[in-house]
Amino acid sequence: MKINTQKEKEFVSLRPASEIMKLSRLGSFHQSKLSFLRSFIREFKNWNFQTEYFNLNQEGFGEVVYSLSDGNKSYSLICFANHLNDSERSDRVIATKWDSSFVLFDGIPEKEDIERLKSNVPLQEKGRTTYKELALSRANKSVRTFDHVVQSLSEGKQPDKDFLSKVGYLYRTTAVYGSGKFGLADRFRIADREELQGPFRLEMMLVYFVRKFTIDQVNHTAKERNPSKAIPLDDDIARNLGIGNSTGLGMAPFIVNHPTLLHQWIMAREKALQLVRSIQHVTMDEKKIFQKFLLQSINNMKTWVTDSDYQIGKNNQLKEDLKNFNDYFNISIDKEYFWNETYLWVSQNLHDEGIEFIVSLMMEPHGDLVEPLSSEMSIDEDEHFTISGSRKASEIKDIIEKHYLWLIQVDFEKKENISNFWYYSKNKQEPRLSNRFEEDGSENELPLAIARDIKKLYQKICTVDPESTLAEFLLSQKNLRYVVRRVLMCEKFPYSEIQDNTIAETIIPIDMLRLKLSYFGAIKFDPRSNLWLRITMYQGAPLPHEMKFSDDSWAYRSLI
Amino acid sequence: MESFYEIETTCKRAAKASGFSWGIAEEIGKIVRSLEIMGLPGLKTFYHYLGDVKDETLSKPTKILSKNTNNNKMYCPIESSVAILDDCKSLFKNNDFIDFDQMAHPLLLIPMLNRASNIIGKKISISFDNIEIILNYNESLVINSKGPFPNQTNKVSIRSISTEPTYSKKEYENLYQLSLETFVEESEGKLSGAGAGLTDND
Repeated sequence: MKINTQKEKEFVSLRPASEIMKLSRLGSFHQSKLSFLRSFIREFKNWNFQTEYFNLNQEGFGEVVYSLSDGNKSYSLICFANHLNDSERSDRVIATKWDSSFVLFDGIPEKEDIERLKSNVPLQEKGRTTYKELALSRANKSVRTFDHVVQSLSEGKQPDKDFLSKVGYLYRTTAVYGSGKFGLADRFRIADREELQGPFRLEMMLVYFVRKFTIDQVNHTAKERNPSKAIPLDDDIARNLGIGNSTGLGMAPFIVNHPTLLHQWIMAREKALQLVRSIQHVTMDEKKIFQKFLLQSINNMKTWVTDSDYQIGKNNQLKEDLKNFNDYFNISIDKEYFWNETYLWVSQNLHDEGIEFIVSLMMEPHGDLVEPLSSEMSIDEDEHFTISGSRKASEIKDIIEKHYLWLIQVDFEKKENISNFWYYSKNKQEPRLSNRFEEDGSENELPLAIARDIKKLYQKICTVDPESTLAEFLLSQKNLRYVVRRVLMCEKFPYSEIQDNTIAETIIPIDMLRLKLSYFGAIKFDPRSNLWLRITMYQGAPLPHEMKFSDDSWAYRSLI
Repeated sequence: MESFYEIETTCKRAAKASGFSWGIAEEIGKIVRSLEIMGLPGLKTFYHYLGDVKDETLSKPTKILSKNTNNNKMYCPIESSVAILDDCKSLFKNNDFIDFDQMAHPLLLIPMLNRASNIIGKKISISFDNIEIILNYNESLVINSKGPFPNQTNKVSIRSISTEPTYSKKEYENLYQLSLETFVEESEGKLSGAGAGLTDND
């Protein structure tokens, strides 16, 4: 594969936002080379992993400290494992006690740091951290898998692989916090560190450490239970265990509240696809890599278990799409712009799930083109915050007609188009979605009804002198200020807006969660309702002692 | 101690709860955060400011003029500075100064005017009571007071400052000559080390 000229780089256009930014499409994205779990491992594969401190009791409770270091800088995870009654174990973000809690520390902690954090980290939202701490999380055991693994190991045998492959983890996290929450370090304190340039890198680091902790904890507990007979968990089995995660609506507002960041994520993916489609000569080896990962993925889909009719429908659609694709796909065809031909067939013959699955897969043989795009997935949002008040009203009208045409047609007087409202729960300080005609509280609606409010802006701006300035307009239209800001952002960042009505009766919020989770690199989407889902992270990823040998193909490792 | 993220988020929500639109509340979160990062009492000032908002003692400008006078109420520093920022290119193009009689909590003017300084490409000075502040293109500020800062003032003067060098031409020239001593004299032999050809016509 070789791309020589600018002309070749732009052999095809970027896909338009009107095609990509629909929720049904965004909710069909899959992990790829750009996913944050994978870019974390690529970035840190040559750092040294070490267990700094290991103090668990017979039952596996106590403290553990791990570190990653490059000789100059270090990051540490401090783990606190506690006894938890079964009746207290809840995956909801609103829980107040967990099996284990974790904090990512900047450097190697001193004893007094551990003592200070011991009385705060297990409390999570109710505790306090400082600028020395970078991310905070907690997790609960998947009791049936944890107990099965400990019992098996303590009896001197490896656990049942089939059983484990369907669950895929020993622990589920219920939240991972960073960027200044609960006293953690503000983003600006670490923003200039080269190794942290990708989004959510610290959060991904934390989860990777947690996975190691869960494996160490089962080994330790099994050994304590039966010192003479216990064996350690086989690396091949441990590698296929990831970390589960329960994700609720808290994630959904994030992608609406960070429009320029959302644009960067989508743009990186679209640029990657553009680059791959523009390759004139694709080698047989590159086609074989694609085919190998395709077949491996189809096999791994057998481990995707869900009770959700919605997800079952999507998974079945994907399986059917991939079967059709397999019938079509022929690596011996020697044609110029092979990937572009492939993409054109896919876009005309497959559904959203299938199209985006193949898009992710097409990036795999071309790491040299795709991987550098990971460093373009962050942005200084404040740089684009200020409203340019000298812009004319007519320009705003034009921008809306160009980028928001779809919403001008929506009638927001109709009940079904405004039936929901987003708000923060007073009790739990978590985002929620409720029916505005059945529940109280819509006066405290969060600014997430973007489509409705941009339509209001459009209607209003059509009534003023086209030559008047935004500064004049905003003196009397303060309620529209937040959407004016977004419209100006969208002019520069066309992938910044979801092109769907996020308060409509028909909204499927888990599509918003799925979008973000696919960028994390999650697999095994298992919706438990329209409002929350379970996923798995790092399943198949190299263990810490294997990191330096990683070739970034772990996401396609056989899980069965 | 709270992180700046927590300060920004809490103040944004408090502003919304106090009747501001989400768009202005977003600005307020950034105003308070910015003051706190600069070591100025943003949160405390905002807290007391909200008391005045509650009592409805503040006036929102409907148009920013060179001289702004309201005999009945104090001007609101948030609404005033947001309006100045939005229209700063035009306002400072036509005038070098904007004065307000009667301004509440003038410290809250600083962050928006600092952003305006960056947009218009000129320093901006703010003076009230005996306090002088110079805003440098949203990069930094110079202030002659550690506080306390007044809850209200009878007059605020805002000036755009034409940037004059703080040094003489001769001082710069002498330093430039000194800097030349880090260069190496060229010779014919060394010219072959240049990246380009010897002429621009080859």
